[in-house]
Amino acid sequence: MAPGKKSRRSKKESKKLKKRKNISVVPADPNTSDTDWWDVFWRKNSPSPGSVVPEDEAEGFKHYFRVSKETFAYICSLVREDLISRPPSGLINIEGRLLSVEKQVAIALRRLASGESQVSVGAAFGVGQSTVSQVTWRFIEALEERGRHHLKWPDTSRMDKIKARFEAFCGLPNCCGAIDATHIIMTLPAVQTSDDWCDPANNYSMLLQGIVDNELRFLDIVTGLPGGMTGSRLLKFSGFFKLCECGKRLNGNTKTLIEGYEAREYIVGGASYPLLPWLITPYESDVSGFSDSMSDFNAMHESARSLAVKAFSQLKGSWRILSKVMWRPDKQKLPSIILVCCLLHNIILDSGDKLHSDVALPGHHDFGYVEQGCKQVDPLGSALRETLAKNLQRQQESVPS
Amino acid sequence: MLCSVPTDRSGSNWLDRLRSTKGFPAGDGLDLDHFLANPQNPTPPTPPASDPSTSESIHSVQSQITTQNGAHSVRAQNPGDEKDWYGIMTGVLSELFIMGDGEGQIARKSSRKQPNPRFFPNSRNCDASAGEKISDCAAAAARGENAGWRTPSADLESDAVDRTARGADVDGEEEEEEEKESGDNKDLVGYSRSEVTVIDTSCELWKFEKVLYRRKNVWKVRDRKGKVRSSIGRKKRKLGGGSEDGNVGGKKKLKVSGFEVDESNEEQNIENGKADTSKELADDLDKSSKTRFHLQFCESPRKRRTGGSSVVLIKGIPTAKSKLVEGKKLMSKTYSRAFLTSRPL
Repeated sequence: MAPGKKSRRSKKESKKLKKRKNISVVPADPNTSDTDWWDVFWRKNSPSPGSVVPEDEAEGFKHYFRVSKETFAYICSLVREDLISRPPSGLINIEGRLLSVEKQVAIALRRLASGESQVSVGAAFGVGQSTVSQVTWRFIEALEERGRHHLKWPDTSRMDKIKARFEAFCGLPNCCGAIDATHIIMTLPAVQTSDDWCDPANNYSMLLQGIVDNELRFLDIVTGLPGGMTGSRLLKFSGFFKLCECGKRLNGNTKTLIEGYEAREYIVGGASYPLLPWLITPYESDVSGFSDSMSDFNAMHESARSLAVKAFSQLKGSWRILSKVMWRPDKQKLPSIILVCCLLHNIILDSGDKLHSDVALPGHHDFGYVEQGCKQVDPLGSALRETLAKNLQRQQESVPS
Repeated sequence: MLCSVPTDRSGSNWLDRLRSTKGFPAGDGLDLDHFLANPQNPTPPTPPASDPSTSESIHSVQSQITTQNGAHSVRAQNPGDEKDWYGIMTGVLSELFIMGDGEGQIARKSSRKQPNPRFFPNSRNCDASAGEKISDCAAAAARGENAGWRTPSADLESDAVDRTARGADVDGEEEEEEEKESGDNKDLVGYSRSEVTVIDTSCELWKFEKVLYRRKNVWKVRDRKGKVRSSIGRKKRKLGGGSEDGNVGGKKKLKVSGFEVDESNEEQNIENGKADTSKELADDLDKSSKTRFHLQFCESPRKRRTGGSSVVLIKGIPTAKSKLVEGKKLMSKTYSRAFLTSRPL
């Protein structure tokens, strides 16, 4: 008995020694900036004839990670403390110590950007699937905390700028943003399948609602609720709705329009949303009495609302993990993944990076879903819409003269 | 002595009086089985709290018991106070009477199940003293533990009333509501339940857990009680997480933390001398960890009967070990002494 134990111990010890030796052979100092990973990655994944990868290295970097090298460095600086300080565990123990923060961020960004399987992403970086899994989640947890300042409701001065740009862009005075929602499609294990998560297109999905500014930046998001809900119901469950209803949001300065009318702050949304004092939806076009002024208003409204559609399209196109059908995700973790993708979307905008033209989804971000009209109409919302339509009409009348 | 008064009344007499006051025929052949199975009984039996004659009769039974035990009740000796505490006592006794019957007989024989269950006002609300939260009540309701008193028809009725009271949306969607710790789960019977983690950047804490209840177009959101994942919204990390970025890896963590909660609670309750803690602990558990808990602690009658658990067993090991060590020491001492004494030989 005893000699056997001894032999096992000695084997273990020899293994440990081997590991130590390996580690000592490849010294990893996480504090130093590691650029080798990119050289190795670029060599391994350099553009071949006929591939969509750009020839230029800087453009190639953007193609793989959606961000410029400068923005990449900024993201690394945000999460560095978290990715270094945590002692790796389990299988990652061996590999984790060898991974620099840069390589960890690169692995996570590639996983989120491509939506490829963990195995494929791991193969591109020369790491295992479990490493990709752990590194990605660590990055998500870190950025979720450290990148919050990139997604917040603007203060008064910033909101004034947004309103001015909205008016310049689409002609809507005092408009603060555009709202839309999208489905993040997934598969679920049989035991977790439920009608709650089954959406109108018979997919299992999680909803993401976002309010965006004129630059397609997310100002507010809600996610985590099941796809079985409608967009209007999701709105009603959101904190934004509650804040607006009690006058704590969209409560800024009103704007005086032509003929002394006043317009309060509001956002624009599609026909699937209720018409509220602070949420303006388009006129129904298939009803009697649909006038030209209404049609003009709808066109103006649509140009503003399309910003939200574009933002979601760009989000899902850039971070393709959201546009691909996610395989059995942990529903408790999926909201964090979605949030981090929105944060990354905003970081790109805040850094002034320009996205590749090919990243946005070619079709609609929520392809296959039919927008169901919401007939709820608030009189105050209706009055504001009338005012805006009249204001537009007067503006159009005054232009020729 | 008042104690002699109830002895004058025979058991059949008070039962007859009770039957007559309730409008039932008094007869010898009417036992509980007959009474419950009687299809001609249009009104369900009501608690006889307000009926003085019934109160008396129940009191007489109580007095009989007291006399038999030889213990003289102070309250029974004061005829002036009789009517004051009749109201209190009869309420309690009637509850005991019905519950005793229900547990002892009805539970065993399905044929004795009341066709028209009695309305039980006390069980409408979740027991606040037990610390049960709305989500747990709802969970219990979903499991069908607490649904006995409520018929589906009653449920539908109340729901219909709710709908008319709240009104429906113009677009045909029914109004959803958000209640926090309202304490009533009566309207959640028949609802599907989903636990969700919501991220809402309009809220102070971006990330929070909710329970969604859904029946067709009616959605209700409640707070999820018993934070199993205390690290939500924080970046604390446990060793050996091994979770995937999107896959089901987090479940393990969930179970483990739930189990930890169990153990600590179990320990506390053992110390307090409470063996049956399953109901209280159920608050803080998700389904999986709960099952695990039941497997570990509740479904082992041997452990429960002895009032012990793994904790006690673990506690027992060192003592046994120490005894063993002591014994060994003793033995070695004796042997050494023997050896020492024998060496000169």
